[in-house]
Amino acid sequence: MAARFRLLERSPQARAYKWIGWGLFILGVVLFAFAYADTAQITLLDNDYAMSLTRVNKSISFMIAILGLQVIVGFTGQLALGQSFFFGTGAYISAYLVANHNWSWFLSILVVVPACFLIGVIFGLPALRISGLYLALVTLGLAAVFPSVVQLEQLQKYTDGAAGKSVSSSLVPPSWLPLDGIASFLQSIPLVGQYFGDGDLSSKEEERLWAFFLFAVLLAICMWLIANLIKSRPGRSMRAIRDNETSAAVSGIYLAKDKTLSFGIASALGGVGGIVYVAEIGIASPGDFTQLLAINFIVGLVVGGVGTLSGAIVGGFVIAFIPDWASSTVNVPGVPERWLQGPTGTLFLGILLILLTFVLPGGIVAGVRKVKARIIQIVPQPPPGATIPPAATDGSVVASVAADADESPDTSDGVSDVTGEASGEDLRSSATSDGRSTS
Amino acid sequence: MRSRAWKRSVAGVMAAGLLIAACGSDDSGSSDTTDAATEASEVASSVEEAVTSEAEAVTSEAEAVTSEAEEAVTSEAETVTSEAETASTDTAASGEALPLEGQVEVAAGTTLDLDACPDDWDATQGVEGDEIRIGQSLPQSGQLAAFGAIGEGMQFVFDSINDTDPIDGKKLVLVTRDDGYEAGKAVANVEEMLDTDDIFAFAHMIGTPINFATRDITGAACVPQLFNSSGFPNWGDPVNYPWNTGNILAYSTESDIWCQDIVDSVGEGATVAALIMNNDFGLTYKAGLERCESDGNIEIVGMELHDPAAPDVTNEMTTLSATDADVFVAGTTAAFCPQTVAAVAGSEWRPTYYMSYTCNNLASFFAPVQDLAGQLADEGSGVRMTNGIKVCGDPVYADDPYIQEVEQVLDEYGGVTCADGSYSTGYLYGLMVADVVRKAAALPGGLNRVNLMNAMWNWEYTPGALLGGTLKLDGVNDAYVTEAAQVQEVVVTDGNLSFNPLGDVVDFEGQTGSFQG
Repeated sequence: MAARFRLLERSPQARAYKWIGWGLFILGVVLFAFAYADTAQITLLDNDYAMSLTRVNKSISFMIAILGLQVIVGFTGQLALGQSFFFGTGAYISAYLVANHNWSWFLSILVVVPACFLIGVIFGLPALRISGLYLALVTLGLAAVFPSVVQLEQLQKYTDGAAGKSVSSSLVPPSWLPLDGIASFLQSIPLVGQYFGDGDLSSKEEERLWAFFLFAVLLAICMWLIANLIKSRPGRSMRAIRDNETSAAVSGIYLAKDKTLSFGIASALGGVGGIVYVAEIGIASPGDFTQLLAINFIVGLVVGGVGTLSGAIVGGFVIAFIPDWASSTVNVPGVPERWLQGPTGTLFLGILLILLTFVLPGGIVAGVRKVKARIIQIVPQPPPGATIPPAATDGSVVASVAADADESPDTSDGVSDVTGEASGEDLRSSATSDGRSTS
Repeated sequence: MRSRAWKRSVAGVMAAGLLIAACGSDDSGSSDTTDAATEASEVASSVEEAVTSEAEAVTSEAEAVTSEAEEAVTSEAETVTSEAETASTDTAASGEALPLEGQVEVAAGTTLDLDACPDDWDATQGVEGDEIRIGQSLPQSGQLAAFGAIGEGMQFVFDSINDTDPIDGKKLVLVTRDDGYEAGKAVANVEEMLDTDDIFAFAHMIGTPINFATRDITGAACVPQLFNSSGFPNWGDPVNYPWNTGNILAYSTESDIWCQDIVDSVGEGATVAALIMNNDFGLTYKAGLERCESDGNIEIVGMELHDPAAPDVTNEMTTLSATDADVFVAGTTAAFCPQTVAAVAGSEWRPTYYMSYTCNNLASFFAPVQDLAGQLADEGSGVRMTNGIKVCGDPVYADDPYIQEVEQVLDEYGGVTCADGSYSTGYLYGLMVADVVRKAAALPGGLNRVNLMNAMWNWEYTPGALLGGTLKLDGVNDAYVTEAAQVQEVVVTDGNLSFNPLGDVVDFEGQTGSFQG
């Protein structure tokens, strides 16, 4: 069963599709932010599910950290589970700089990124010797010691020990930004205006909106950087290491360098996530950066989709919202009320993890991609000099070379099953190589 | 292959439909706050129904108990009301309502700056309907999930007050959310509750980092955050945090009482060995003991810190028992308390033994080591604690009217007993909230947030749970709620664990001032 629409890569249609898609996405994000500047409640079957920008901002911090995990676990294939250590390190460093030295939040990136990168590289060195389960254990140990490390007596004056390092500095929107104007414009639109609240934004709402936009842009920059990294030479080396270390080494990849680089980048992203976290929450406390967080990151990684960039977004959203929503679920028809009390969030995440491993091993993103592939498909340009036969039998205008490359859904399913981590990048690259081989 | 694909796409469409449906109903919720309020009240009433039906399910025997309980609660409520009437603060005496704008001095040195409140701030938010909505974020999951029972206990006492003697004819409603003892979750919880749950005031949030993280938010929103349930000395700072008050005996005060008791019972210059839990709470004890040492009262000969997540403290206890100090202080909590009892009983060491009052739940922490605790008491090394309240489950208080009332209400409204968890603590906490709210409602101007803080900072309340002293606040002059405690020893009489009072109630009332930091 072929896709409903097929677009040739770099054709005007494909470009239009890409730009319109992105435009709609950004518009959606902006509208979402204004609609949810004040917390909303989603009511479903008598359960109230809170939806607030505070939590969304928190989820952005998780997304950036999971993006780091994508680099090390998803693309380099190293089972490093200690992301909460770097997340916490970033949070504490920036909290210290902002609270004690009056730095701005974003200036602290300049310190956090190199610091976390360095620590990551240092902890990456032993990983050259150990791998698999042992690496997982060692890195999980790293996550376990973090709360004790920040409570060390010697660090007390920097970390404020167990009480947590609180910071009162908040992100104040610049006066030139007409947030109020945009809000009142959105409110004045007939029919949909009612969904954007009424009256002026309070200063708290403005701060939340501003923080959300800043964090979203920061996330976008991180995503863009990592997307480029993955396509570049080091990124290809990382993927080669993931797929087969021995053959990667044989092909001339310097394993030590690329593995430690990958550790460093992952840790730096963890640190950036920590900055966002503490900038939103206003306190870095040892109880927040425990092993549980490290495990939650892994859950987010797997649920979103290992080895996919967008999986980080889905994963961050899942671990920030699902536990809360699960504990807000107090009425489910047919389920005794007693079963819905207590820590249902953790239980639900666990069930989700098990279910997805069986049903959608590639995570939610892989599922979405499978559906999307049935509707729209962008096929690569035929290589120069290839003969282009007349239109394909299904009526859509497409080069048969491309049709050859992706003859039937069975082939593409087969590819995804083989790679296991069904990433779109992989699918596309395999399609490209097929296309070339046919020509 | 084809049918499988079809099934998948049908499933996808259904999932999308669900999502759209979810978003659809969300819009009405977000656009109209009253909707959210009614929905919330519906949820609350459904909870009540559940509770009622549960209560109905109990046998006729329980019904007899019920009527007794009602009587008990009514009489309790009556005394509370009469107290509220007599408790006349400066402003109440003048008969003029406090203004709801500008700088309002509610107590000595305690000024609410209402001009700094958000534009949409409303002094009566959360009490406008027929409910008084109290918010609480507390751990219901994670390592300290046991504290979740406190919230349930508070709801039980609220239910009983609503049934017998409602405040201003309104129902007290407790809205709880789980934070797993993580400050990050607590912040999101509090912000969301402020926006959507129509919260009048927050009360009894548990844990030091949680209260540190949230009091800035509630302070900026001008929403009262009463009774921080953590013994950190910072929670008595009316100058900087007029919207926030503490609750339990400060651990620093507790260690001062130890210091005094060591001098009284062992003598000046006694050698002390201490086991300290390495977190905010344990380190407060450490600071207290060091203060005691620098005052020349004791000599610390051994101090071991242990990780809160450690499985046991055997190694630390071996080191400490080797010091053979005159005094042993267990500045730790929960499962570590019985471990220290077992370790001391198993060694030759028989020091004068002090333990954090957070372990005073005999049923939870001492039942497993009952014989050893009894042996220590017989050999002159009984575990001493500074208790401020009567402990539910101690046979000494079996006939105490307060404890009986607790047991009846817990049984009637929750079907639980004191031995099931921290419900009895929740009971006392619920009574405290109800009392402040009732006093605020009696002030001129009625129930609003300014009056609540006024009633809070001039509060005086003596619940039946107290061993002595009173719960009292007076602005900067006295910013700590609980300051009285009695040193008691754990003993075993007739096969039952019990507390044996040693000496009188030590009362620091009014002497601890406010937080200087």
